[in-house]
Amino acid sequence: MRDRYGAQADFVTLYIKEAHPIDEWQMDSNEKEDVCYPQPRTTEARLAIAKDFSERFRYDIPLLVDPIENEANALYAGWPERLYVIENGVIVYKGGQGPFEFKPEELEAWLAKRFPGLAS
Amino acid sequence: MSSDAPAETIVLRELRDEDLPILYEHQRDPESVKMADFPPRDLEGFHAHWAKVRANPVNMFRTIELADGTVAGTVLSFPRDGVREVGYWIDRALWGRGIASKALAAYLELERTRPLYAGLARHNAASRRVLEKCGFRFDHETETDLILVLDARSAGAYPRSVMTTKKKLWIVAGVVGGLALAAGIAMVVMMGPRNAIGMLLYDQREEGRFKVGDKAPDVALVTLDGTAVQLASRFGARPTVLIFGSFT
Repeated sequence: MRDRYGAQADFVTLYIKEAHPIDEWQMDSNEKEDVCYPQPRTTEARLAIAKDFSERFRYDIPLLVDPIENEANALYAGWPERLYVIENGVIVYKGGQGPFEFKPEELEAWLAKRFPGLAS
Repeated sequence: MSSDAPAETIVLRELRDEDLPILYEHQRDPESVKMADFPPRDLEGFHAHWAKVRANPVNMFRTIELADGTVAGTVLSFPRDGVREVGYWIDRALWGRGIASKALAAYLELERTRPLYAGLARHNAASRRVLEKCGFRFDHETETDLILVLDARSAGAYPRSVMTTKKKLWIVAGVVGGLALAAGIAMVVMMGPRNAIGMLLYDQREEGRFKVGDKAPDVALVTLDGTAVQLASRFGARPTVLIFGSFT
C-alpha cells in the first residue's frame, strides 16, 4: 500500500502500549515467535521494544513512539491497532478497533477512491 | 373459606334475596376475612357485587343451607382468565362441622367443568384440606395465593398471567443467565482459556471520542533515537496515514 500510495500520502507508525505483553494478555502465537516482552513501565523501555521491532522486520515506515503516559493512545483510541488518515489537520478516515475491525483493505479502498488514478 | 370435620346434612339451593343480608354479615367477620385474606365489601359494594354475579348467566352459585334452614354460606363458580374457578364462604360460627367439604362435594356434582380451579390464601390450610378432600391438588402459586386444580390432566392449564412476578423474574434471570453462561463457554472454547481470560482482564479497546471530520489532536511523541516530536508536525496537505500498533 505504501509502495502504491507513498508518493501521494505520508505513512507514520505510532508505536503504542503493548497489546500482548507477557505480564498481561500473553498470546501463544507470540511465544512461538519469541515476541515476549513485559508491558513497559518507562518510555525508554518502550523505545527499546520499538527498536527491536523495527530491526527485526527491517521496518522502513517512519515510526514514532507514544511516551509512557500513553497520551496518543488515549486520544486516538489506537490500542491494540488502528488506522487513521489525517488531511489538512482533519481526520478524514478512521478505521475500526483492531484486531477484528483492523482492515488495511478498507484503508486501501479509501486511498484508491482518494487517488483514483492509482487504483489499478 | 372454612374447614370442617364431621359431616352434616346440607342442601344446595338457589340464592334468594333474603340470603344476602346474612351473607353480608358472613363476609364481614374479621376471622373469616383474615383466613380468606379477602377484604370485606361495604353494604353498597356487597350488593353491587352480587347484582353483577347474579346478572351473569355464566356464573353458577348456590346457597348452602343446613337441615334446620340455617344459611351456612355460599358456593359458586365463575370464569376467570380463561379457566373456571370455584369458591365458597362458610359462616365462621359453623366452621369445623364438615359443612364446607360436604357442600363442595355436592356442588361438584352440579359444576362439571374440568379442569376446575380454586385459589386460596397460602396460610389457609383448612381450606386446602377441604379442597384436597374433594379431589383438588396443588397446581401452582401466585404472589398471594395457592392454586389448586380438580382433574389431573389439567396441570399447568391455569393462565400463566397469574404466575407470580417473582417467579417470572427468576425465569427471565435463569434464561438470561443460561444464555450468558453458554456464550461464555463458547467464547472460552473458541479462544482458548488463556486468551479468554486475557480478554476479560486486559481488553482496552475503545471507540475513542474523535470521529471523521474532527480536528486531529496533536500529541507529543518521540522518535526511535529519543528525540521529541509533535505529531502535528507530520500533518500537511498530503494525507497522512497513521498506523497504531505494537510489537506484541
